[in-house]
Amino acid sequence: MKKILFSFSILITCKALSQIPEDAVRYSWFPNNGSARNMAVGGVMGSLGGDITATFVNPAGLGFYRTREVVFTPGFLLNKNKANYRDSLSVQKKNGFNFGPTGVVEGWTNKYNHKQSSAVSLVINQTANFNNRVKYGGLNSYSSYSEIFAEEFSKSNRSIDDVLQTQSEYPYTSAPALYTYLIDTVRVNGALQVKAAPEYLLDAGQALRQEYDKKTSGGMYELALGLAQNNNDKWLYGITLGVPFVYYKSNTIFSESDTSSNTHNNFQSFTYNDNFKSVGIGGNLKIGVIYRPKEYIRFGFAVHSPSIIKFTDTHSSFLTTIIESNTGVAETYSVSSNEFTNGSSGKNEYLQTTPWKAMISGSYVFREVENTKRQRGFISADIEYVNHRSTRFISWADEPTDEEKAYYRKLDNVIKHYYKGAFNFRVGGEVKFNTIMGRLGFAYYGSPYKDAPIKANRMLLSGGLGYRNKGFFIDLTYVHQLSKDSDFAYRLEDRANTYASLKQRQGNIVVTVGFKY
Amino acid sequence: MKSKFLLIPLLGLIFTGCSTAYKSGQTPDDVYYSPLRIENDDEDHDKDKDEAKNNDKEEKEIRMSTRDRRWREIDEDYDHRYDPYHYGYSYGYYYNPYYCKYPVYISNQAIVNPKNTRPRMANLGSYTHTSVITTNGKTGQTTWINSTRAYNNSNRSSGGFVRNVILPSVGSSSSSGTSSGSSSSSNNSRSYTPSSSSGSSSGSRSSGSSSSGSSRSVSRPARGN
Repeated sequence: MKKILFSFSILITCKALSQIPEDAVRYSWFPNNGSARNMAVGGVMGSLGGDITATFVNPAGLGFYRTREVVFTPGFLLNKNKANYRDSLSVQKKNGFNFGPTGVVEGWTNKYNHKQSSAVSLVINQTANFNNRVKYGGLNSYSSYSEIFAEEFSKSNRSIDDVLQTQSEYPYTSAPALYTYLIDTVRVNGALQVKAAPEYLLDAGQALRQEYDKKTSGGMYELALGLAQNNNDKWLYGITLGVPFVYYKSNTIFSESDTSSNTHNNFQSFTYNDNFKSVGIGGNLKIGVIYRPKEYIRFGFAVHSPSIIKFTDTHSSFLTTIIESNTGVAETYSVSSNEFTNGSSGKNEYLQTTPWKAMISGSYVFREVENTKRQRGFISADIEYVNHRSTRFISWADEPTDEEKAYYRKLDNVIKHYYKGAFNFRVGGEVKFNTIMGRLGFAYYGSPYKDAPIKANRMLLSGGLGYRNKGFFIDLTYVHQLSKDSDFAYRLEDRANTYASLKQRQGNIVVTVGFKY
Repeated sequence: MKSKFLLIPLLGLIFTGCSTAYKSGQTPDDVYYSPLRIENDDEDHDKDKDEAKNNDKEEKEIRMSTRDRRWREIDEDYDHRYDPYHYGYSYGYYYNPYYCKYPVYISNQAIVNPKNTRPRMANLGSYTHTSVITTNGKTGQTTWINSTRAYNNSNRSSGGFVRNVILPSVGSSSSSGTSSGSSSSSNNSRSYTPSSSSGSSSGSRSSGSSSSGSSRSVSRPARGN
C-alpha cells in the first residue's frame, strides 16, 4: 500500500510585526504569592479560606471572615541562577524586595439572619516578581546569534535599501546588522546570498565565544476587590474583581567574538544591547465556591478568567560590530535602532489575554471552635490547571493592516502549539498551640512547554511560624524555590536551536503583620 | 516601580491608625472560627451620632439667627451669578474667550515625527515543529505530522548536525557586497532575492533616494572607515 505520496515542510515565513511567544508565559507561569501564613503552607487557598490571600485564589474563602483586619506583607527575594550553556557553567545572583497581599478585609453577620454573613476585601498584591539576572556564556561551533538577522533578511525579500529606512520594518534586527556589516550580501556561484560575518568562522570549523547577560526588573501587580457570602457555614460564594497592572523592563546584552588570533577571517566581535519596556493595565474576574458538608471538612472550586491587559511597549537596541578587512584591519561600526525608528524608541500597543485557570481543593480543619486554645491545626491541598496555550494577542491599532492581523493569527497559533496546559499542586498544613503556630508546605508547578526535551518546573518548599495575640498577628515564612527552565538566547528556523538549561534557587523571606480592629 | 514606596503609607496606616478591639481576650483566627459581628449595630450607632451632630448644628444656627440677623443670611440659596468673584462661572467652568469646548482638527497636516510602531521581531517559524503533510494514496486524505524539533546543545557531539560550508572567495564581503564566492552547499545558503526594484545596492552607500511615506533612507557607512 502506498501511503505517502509526498511530504513537504511548511515554512512559516512571516515578517514579525510585534510580540513574541515568550511574552505569553511571563504572565502565567509563576507561583502564587500570598501572605506569609499562606506561603508557609505551600500557597494552598482553594478551600481553606479565612486569609486575605483568598481574594486572589478562591474569593469564597473570604466568606469565613466575620471580623475585620488590616494586613501588610513585605518580602525579600534572594535569587541564585545556575546556567549550563553548551557545557559551560555559570552562576549569577540577584536580590530584591517584593511584597505580598496588603490591604483590608471586613466581615459582618447579617443582623436579620445570623446564619448568613458577608465579607469584603480590598487588597493589593505583587502577583509576579520579575527582578532577576540570567547570565551565561560558552563556545559555539554550530550557530551564531547573527544568523537570526541573516535569516530574517533573506526571508524578507527586501533589498538593503528597503530595510535601511528611518521607518524600517526591521529596526532592531536586520537594519542595524546590515548597517554595521554584521550581515551582508555575498555572491556564491553566481547567486547573491545573505551571510553573517561570524558564519565564516563557523564554516571553517571554528567556535565563537558567546556571552549572554539579561537583567529584568519590575513585577505584575493586582489591585483586587473581593466579595463573599457565607450561608450557614455550608455554602460560601465569592467573586473578585481584579485590576492587574504590569511593569516589566529588560536589558539584554549579547556578544560574540572570534576566539582565534587570525585577523583575516572577516570577523572579530559584535555586541548587541537590547532595551525593552512593557507597561500594562487590565482587568480580570475570579469566582469561587466552598462547600462545607460537615464540620472540619471543606471543598473548594474556583475559576480565574483570563486577564485582559492593554500593553504599551517601548523598544530600542544598539549594535557594535568589529569586522576585519581583507588586509586584516579591524573596522568598527555602531548604530542605534533609533536611526531606524525615526529618532526615538519604537512603541507598540496591543491587548494580551493571559490564560484562564481552574482549581479544586480540599481541607481538613482540626477543631473549628471559637476558643483559640482548642484550635489544633489544618491540612489542605489544591490542584490547579492553567491553560498556558490560551494566551492571545490582539492589535490595539484602529485599523490593523492585513499583515498585522496575519502575524497575530500566526503568533496565537505558535503559542497554541509551543505551550500546553499544566497542572500545579499545592499542599500544606499548620499546627496550632494557642497563640503560636508552626507550618510546612510544598508546591509543584508543571512545565508550560509542549516540547519534551525542554525541561521546566518549579518546586517550592516552605516553612514558617506565626504568633497571634491581643488583636495583633505576625507570621514569618521562608520559601525555598527550586526551578528548572530553558532560556533561548536566539532561535533559528533553518538550524537546530541551542538553549541554556537554567536551575534557579530562590529564597523568599516573607513577613505578614496584621491587626484585628 | 519601587514597591517599597508604595508600602510606606500603608505601614504608616497600620502603625498609627489602628486601634484593636481585641487587646484583651482571645484574638479570633478566621481560618478556624470567626465570631459573630453584627454589622448594623455599629453602623446604626455611628449614624445616630452623626444625626445628633447635624441636629445640634441646625439648632445652633436657628438659635443664633433669632438673636442676630446676619445668621439668617447664611443659607445655600445665594445666587452666585451676581457674585463679582464668581461672574462667568457656569456649568463647571469660567467664561473664557479662548475656550472652545470642541476639539479642533486641522486637516492635511503632516505628522512631523511619527513613532515607529514595529517593536520586537521574532521569526515564528523558529518556534514551531517542522510540520509535514502526508497523503494517503488510496483515500487521498492528508495528515499533518509534527516531527520533533531538533536541538543542538553541545559542541562535543554537535548532535550529528553538520554545518554546510560556504567559503568566501578572496575579496568577498567587500564594500560592494556582490563579489563572487568559491564554493557552497545549497542547503546552507540564505538567498538574497529582493522583490523590489531597488536591487542589491549593498555595501558602499545606499542611494538615499528611496523612501516610503514619511520614511527616508539611511546610508550605510563606507567600508574601510
